[in-house]
Amino acid sequence: MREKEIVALCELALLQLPPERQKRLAQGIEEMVEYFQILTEFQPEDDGVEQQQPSASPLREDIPSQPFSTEALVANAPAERRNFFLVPNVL
Amino acid sequence: MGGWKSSLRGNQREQIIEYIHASNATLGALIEVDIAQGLALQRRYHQGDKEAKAGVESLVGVPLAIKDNIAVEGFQLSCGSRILEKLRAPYSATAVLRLLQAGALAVAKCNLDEFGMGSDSQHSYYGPVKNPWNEDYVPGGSSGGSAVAVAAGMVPLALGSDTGGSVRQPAAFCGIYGLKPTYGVISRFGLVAYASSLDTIGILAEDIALLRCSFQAMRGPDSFDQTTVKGPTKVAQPHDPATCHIGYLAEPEGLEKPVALEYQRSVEALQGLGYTTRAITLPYLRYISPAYYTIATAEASANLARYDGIRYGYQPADAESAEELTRRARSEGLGDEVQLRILLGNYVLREGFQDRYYLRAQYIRKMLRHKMELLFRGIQALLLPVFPSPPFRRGKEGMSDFQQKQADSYTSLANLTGQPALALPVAMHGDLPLGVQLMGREHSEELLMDIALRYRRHYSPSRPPRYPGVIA
Repeated sequence: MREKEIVALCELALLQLPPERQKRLAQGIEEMVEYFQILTEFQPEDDGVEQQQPSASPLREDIPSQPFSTEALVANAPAERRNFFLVPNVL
Repeated sequence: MGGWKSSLRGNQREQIIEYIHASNATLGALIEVDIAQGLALQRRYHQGDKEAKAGVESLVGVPLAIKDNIAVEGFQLSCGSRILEKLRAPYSATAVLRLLQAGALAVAKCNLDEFGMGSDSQHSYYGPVKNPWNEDYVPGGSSGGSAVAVAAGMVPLALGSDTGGSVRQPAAFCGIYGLKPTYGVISRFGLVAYASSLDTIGILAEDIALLRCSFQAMRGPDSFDQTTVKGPTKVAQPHDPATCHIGYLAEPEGLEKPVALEYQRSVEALQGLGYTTRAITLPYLRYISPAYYTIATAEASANLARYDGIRYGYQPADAESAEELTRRARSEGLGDEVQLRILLGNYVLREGFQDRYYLRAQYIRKMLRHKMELLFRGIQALLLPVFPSPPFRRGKEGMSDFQQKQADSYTSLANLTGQPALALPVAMHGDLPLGVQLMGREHSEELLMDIALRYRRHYSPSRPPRYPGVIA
């Protein structure tokens, strides 16, 4: 796996890793991707499975209910002020 | 289970608590024990026998340990990860709530491979879990803490999660029973998502009556999880072995000698118990594990994108921007194996790669479902190995993470098809237990438990000599 590829994957995954850790993970990904090559050898069979209809996505009615209180929602926040999550300055 | 009922309210309470703490100091199975909180929840939610769900036997006083990726109000919910450090669940999972309503007493949260990603319970921010039969060996995973808590007699009942075998493999490695139910039969509400189309909450117990009772209490539709299904409500009648056909693999692949030997002996034992057995060939065995890991990592990459270090959990100090805070929280808060699976999921979903891996894996999954449905028209259950090796050593002398992933084929099949499977202990190999699993058609859990119960006439498991427990 080229360095450019692992950097792009880390970007997608919002990970900021030191180069040696990136290298170690790239080796792990390579090992698994090589293993996944078996999938490309799979030969589809024509025995009716294609005609099976996928089940519909189950949907539910929108029913109003009592949500958690703001206090409960921020209770686990590592940093909060006046019931708002606290983050470093954006601007 | 009789001896356990109300044990934590009676005169054995102190003795049991002392035993739990003493055993856990060596085994590392539990990451939080809070009996006071458990009693408070029981007082609040136990409905009393009159309001209990129809057909459900009372679980009053039965101590319960819960894998730490399942929410229990007031208990921590770390998923074995630094990124969820100090997170306390504000509500209980539906499965847990139903057990509390039946009178169960939540006492502890169990250690696990981080976010359920692993097969040895050695990948936890809270340290490794040891097998109570031999502490140099792994207990299996990812529900290793739950399996050890039951096997070592700390609690009679534990919940785990099974995405690719994470209940059945540790159950087999620790010599107890582990049920992965039909997908959708037990609500996933309150289970922290790893791979949503494969995740199930499963049960670990040393007693089949207790396993059955807790399954009955938890099963059924839940308005908080739209993938739940109703299924049959009646408990199956005892079956006649003479008319029950059980399939087995004529030539099981890749098994180490002791596992192959005990697998064959299990087939013979079932024949001795009066069952008709039929040799079959498992379709597409070589594709199962790669297809499973393609789908599981793809779903994990989406599910774990929510952890940002802002709303809960680990937050690094001195980040200069919100974006840096999130990147550092994920980089410092998630372990190697979790990061590997997130990156792999992103890889297989990338533009240009979806056809090659993800869509192909989904097609294989569809074919597997179809083939297994056809197979179960001719047999009522299928006997399969759980894992190709006996429990392996902890540390570098054991199996690598990659080898463990390759070994998941026999368990991840039931997750790909959505069908139920039950691991049962069948023998000892030296001082370590060996298990097999029974897989069945959708909603056949009762039959699988019946067969396992009958199998106890041939082999009945015991507790590890060093961890005999307080209650028999």
